[in-house]
Amino acid sequence: MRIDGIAAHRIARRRLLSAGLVAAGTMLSGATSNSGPRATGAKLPAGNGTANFADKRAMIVQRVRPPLLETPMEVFDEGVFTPNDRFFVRWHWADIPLAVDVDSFRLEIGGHVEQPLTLSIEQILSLPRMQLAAINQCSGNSRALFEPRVPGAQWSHGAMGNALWEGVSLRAVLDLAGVRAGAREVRLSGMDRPLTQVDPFRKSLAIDHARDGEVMLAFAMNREQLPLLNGFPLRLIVPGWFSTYWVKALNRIEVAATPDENYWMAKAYKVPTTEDAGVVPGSTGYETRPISTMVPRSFITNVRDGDALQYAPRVPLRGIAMGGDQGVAQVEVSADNGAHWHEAQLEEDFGRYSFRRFHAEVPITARGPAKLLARCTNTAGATQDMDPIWNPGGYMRGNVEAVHASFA
Amino acid sequence: MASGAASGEQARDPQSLGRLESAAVELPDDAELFVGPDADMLNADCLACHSPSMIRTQPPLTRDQWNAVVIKMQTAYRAPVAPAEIEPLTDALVRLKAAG
Repeated sequence: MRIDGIAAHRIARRRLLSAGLVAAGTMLSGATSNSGPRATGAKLPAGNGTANFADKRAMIVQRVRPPLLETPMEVFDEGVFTPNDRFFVRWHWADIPLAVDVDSFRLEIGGHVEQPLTLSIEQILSLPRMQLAAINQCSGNSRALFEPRVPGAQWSHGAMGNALWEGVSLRAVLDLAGVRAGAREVRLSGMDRPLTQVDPFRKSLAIDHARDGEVMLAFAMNREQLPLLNGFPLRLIVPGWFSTYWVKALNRIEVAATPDENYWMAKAYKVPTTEDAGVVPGSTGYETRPISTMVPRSFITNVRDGDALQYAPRVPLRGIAMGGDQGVAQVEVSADNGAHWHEAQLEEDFGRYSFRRFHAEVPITARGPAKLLARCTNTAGATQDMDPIWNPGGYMRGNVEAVHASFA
Repeated sequence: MASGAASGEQARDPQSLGRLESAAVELPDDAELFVGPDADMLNADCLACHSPSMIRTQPPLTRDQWNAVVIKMQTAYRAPVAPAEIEPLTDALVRLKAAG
């Protein structure tokens, strides 16, 4: 089926009309019209500026529709948790929920279960709760740094955020329905819709993973309800796994006995099966697997590329590190491009899925340009590599990142 | 587990949310259109699903890479690109990015 711009906006418009947010006579902006009653006057940045966007403040707007909003790096220097109004946003399709009524929302659980059921928000809030600090990171975070360059959302490092999530375990919800013998996986989908006749966004987890007690349905993020742009009222949290699985506006949980053939599991978000998920640029014919666990990463946050700093024999560095799906065991920093490494002090531990702040003082041996590095080793003993990987999707970057500064 | 990050059930935290409030959000206007000689085709084929910014932020890509993108948009995402438009649209994207 061919879709045209008018049809696409008619669909989006219907949802807005049903939410009572747009009067029937108003025109929506889009490919066929320049007027937009929903304009908030938000100025979109030219170049690398930031802009306010809906409930988000000072974000890098990679794309307006559907929204791709990146967190500026300075936010990660301000604290170990990412404020909700600076938390990155990524949607695949433009037909996203712009209004949700709490009383009428229902979460459906069905498929290979003893008794399908639906839960209201009130019922979900009455279930036993859990809290977990966990990093949400886009599979393609840092894609813009891949060499050779690859197409896709051109994130720098800001498609990630750390939050304290509160909600109920997926296991508890599955047990209410009763998982039947032979169940193989759990398929999760939300209220966003494609604009064309393609598979709606849906991700699946193996049944044992879904029931591990850490995968959870979150209704609170940093002690507040989720922003709409981050999946209000409910989203999936898959600690230690890339964000593609963290289904937003979650409203359907389906237990299945067969593997998911949906595009978003079978074709999209696949990485090479090599140990580091890297291949030689241009190579073909290699095996792929669905992306899954995150890898160790670390970022110096108090100095940024291009900073001209006052020379001192020792300078303070600080930043954030993550262990992937393990805790942070050690962070080291270098001010001479890796010739010498110095162990950093690790700050408060919020659990193995959270950012960990670190700080150190490093000797600066000469004036002039300096390449500042941080390197993380996780509790499983994996240390970041110096060399970046490459894959055509621009996924899973995890090498040591350099900050280029100069000391005068 | 370190304090503040326990997983598993726990006694109700006084800061734990008691209720959720119905919510709505307004998105900024997305009125940007392509201009120039290929504008009609670019606007009709590309903007049904996403802003021009999706294309503007892409790195320099070879013609083969743009061709692969157009084919992916058409086959995986059912973009409104007629088969006969695949090559002309590829050329249009190459021209667009070359113009800066």
